[in-house]
Amino acid sequence: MHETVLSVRNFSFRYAASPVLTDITFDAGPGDYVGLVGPNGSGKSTLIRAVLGLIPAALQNIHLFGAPASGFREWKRIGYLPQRIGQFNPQFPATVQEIISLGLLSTKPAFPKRRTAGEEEAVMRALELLGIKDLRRKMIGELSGGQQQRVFIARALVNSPELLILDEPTAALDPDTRERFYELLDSLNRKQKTTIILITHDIGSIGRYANRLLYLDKRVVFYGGFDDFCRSTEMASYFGDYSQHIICHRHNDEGGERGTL
Amino acid sequence: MELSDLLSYGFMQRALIAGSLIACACSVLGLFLVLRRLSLIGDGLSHVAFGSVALSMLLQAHTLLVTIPVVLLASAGIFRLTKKTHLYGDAAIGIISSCGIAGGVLIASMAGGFNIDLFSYLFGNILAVSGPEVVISCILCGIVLGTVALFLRDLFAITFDEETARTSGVRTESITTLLVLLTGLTVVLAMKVVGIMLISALLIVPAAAALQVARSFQSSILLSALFGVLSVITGIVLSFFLNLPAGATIVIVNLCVFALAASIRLLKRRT
Repeated sequence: MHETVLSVRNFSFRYAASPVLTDITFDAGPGDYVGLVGPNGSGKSTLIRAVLGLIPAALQNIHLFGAPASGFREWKRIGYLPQRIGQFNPQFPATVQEIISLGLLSTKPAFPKRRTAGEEEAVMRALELLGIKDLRRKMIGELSGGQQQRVFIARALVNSPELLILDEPTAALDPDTRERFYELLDSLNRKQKTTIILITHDIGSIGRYANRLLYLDKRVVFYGGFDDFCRSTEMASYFGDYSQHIICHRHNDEGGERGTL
Repeated sequence: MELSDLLSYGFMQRALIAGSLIACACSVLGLFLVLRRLSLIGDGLSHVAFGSVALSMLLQAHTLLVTIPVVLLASAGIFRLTKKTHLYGDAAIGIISSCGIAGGVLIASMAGGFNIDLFSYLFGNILAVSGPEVVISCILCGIVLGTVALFLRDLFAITFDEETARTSGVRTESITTLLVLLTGLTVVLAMKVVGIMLISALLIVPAAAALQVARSFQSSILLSALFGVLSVITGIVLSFFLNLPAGATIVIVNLCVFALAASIRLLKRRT
């Protein structure tokens, strides 16, 4: 039996007196591709930040790779692209290559984090994967928003993680690059069985690539496979026929369910 | 007088050795502080150093024995204050800084007013550095630079993006505490070079100059160290020949280096 990659059980979180997340329960296994959607302020990023221990929350109900999230140390198994990365200092004096190599820190012992021979090779692979090899010596602040986003995606991928968590990664990408990015995720998911959790507002594309949908609105409104979602009259009345149609239309175009439910 | 004659003086050799090492430590740490928007921490801690120098005079104890623990405690205090009270860093620095100045003035008045010794710490006197002080400075600068070298990649990661650094397994709180403590130690060392009033210049200006022309993180560290050391050496030599105060001359040279670096950047942008 495979270990569950991420397990969240009856997790609740509040800022001061306001509940942000209530009684969240879901699992993601090896090879799952979960589309995490919901309106602004629905708690999507908060949920992910709680899972990664980035906000002071009680984590006893969250497990990563079978271990309690509170004491989780195997960061090399996770790749993370935060939403707020656009707020970094644009004058920061670092090259693309230097930024991507930061993603390899998790593969090193706590101390000392020496540079190794395989490091450059891994960085070059990530650069090639994202099609930004020519930019490797450029300063990060000299790149366009879309190019910067590809650099940060490369940083999240460089350690070949088993679980990839991406918070609105396609926001700054043009349509062509976005499509290639979705294809790249699809390939990682299919070939390497990388578990992907993708927060997005691009609900059309989610229906095409992900095999599970987690709809959040401070609570879990829906979690399951797309066939269930598309057949559900309850979801049609919750979302309205149009939204459900957008998700399900792209999904059905691709020939129905890809993964296991 | 020739430059070689100048180097034959023992006090000048001591000043150049201690000054260069301290400038190197200041400018390397300064780069992380500037990028983390903690530039004024040097200013705040130097005010605490003023209070602790006054305290050492009241207790008639060796300055470093009192100043190092007090400034290290204040460094940790700034960090704790921002964590516990959710204050922005600059507000926490302001609180600790005013504590240092107010405490220093009260202690100095209890000790019978300001004396010449205290003024020498306010404005620096690198030419009066003694042999044992050079040895202590070398050891402490070695500790600061060695620690930065060992934790360089962690420091780089938290400086660029603290949140992602945490998900890469970097112990961000420990590394930030380390940075602040090293800054405290460096501030104590820098008191002798440029004086309490001008310490932040030694921390901020070489780093700011390096950021104008650097083409990578690695080169920005090397350039910052180079600019800091060159400014101290040039400042000490100029102050001797022109009969000027060494601390202020070092800072003015630093500012000239910054102006030059900023001009190079502007010229590059235009071409």
